Amino acid sequence: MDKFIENIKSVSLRENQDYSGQGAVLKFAQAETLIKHCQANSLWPMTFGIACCAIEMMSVGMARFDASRYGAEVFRPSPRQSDVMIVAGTVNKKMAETVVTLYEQMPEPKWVIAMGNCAISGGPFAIEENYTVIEGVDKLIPVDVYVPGCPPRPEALLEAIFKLQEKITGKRHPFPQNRHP
Amino acid sequence: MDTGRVIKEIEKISVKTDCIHILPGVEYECSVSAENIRDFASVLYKNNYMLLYLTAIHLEPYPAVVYQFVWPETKFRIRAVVFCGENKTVPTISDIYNGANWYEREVMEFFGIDFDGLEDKRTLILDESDKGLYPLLKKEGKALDAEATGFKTN
Repeated sequence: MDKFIENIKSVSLRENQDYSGQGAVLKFAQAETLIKHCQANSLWPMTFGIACCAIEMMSVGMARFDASRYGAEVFRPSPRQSDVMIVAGTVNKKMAETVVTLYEQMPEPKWVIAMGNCAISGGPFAIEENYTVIEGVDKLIPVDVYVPGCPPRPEALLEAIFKLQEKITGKRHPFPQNRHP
Repeated sequence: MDTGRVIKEIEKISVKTDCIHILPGVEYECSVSAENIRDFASVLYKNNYMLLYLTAIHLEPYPAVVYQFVWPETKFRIRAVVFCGENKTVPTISDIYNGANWYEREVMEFFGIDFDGLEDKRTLILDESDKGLYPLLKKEGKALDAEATGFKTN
């Protein structure tokens, strides 16, 4: 902990004068790295299952696949406490408004995982006769990670969480990968 | 209760059909005209029949509304087909069978068949913006001919 504080203190204004870049005038590189590291390791998903992919999402949270090994098991009942929205299922016209409202209620920074073929592109519903299914949730909200499958295996969702961590911190975290029981 | 007596009663206001698409389990199938469907439903309601489902089928020249009733004690089923005619209107039976209310609203928004006398005509399943879409109607020329499938269009 002392080392962390030292690192933060060592970031001086004189050494990191970068007024040409976009964003904040003052940059605390070490602190931002630390914060991003913390964010990546405490991704709280929203309790939000629309269709059958949600069953796989539940098993990710349970003991067998155990997403708590990676800090992503705290399914929050409120969008205001969530970091990740896992869109697990078919989004239809009536549901679209709710999905967008929930996304807008989440505080920044926020990420979205589109889980399953329905959320990616409409899946089996992307046909000519389709009249109610939104073909891809990325038409409504920006999506960070896509997980293909119908439904995807729980390991695939875990991999999506790793990908998201990679996106946030810039590197894949060397977690201890316990062998599956 | 005697099912024969009920059939004698409904034979006065309906025509028995021999449909080629008859399903296993449907013991009696008949074609009813739109004017008689309320009397038909009243007779079955008095004889303790329950409404199993109400749906529609797109045939040429007119779409048909299909009612299925069942007597719970012996599982005796009666299926009634009503062709809705040119004005696409069928009298409601939702004041006789309360359960028909949601079925009729569903048929209304999926097939565009109007139910005369139905009080609540809000959309039930589809989005508000889909009013007038009628997604379960077949494309032009794709609907089967009613006479060829064994229905009597009255």
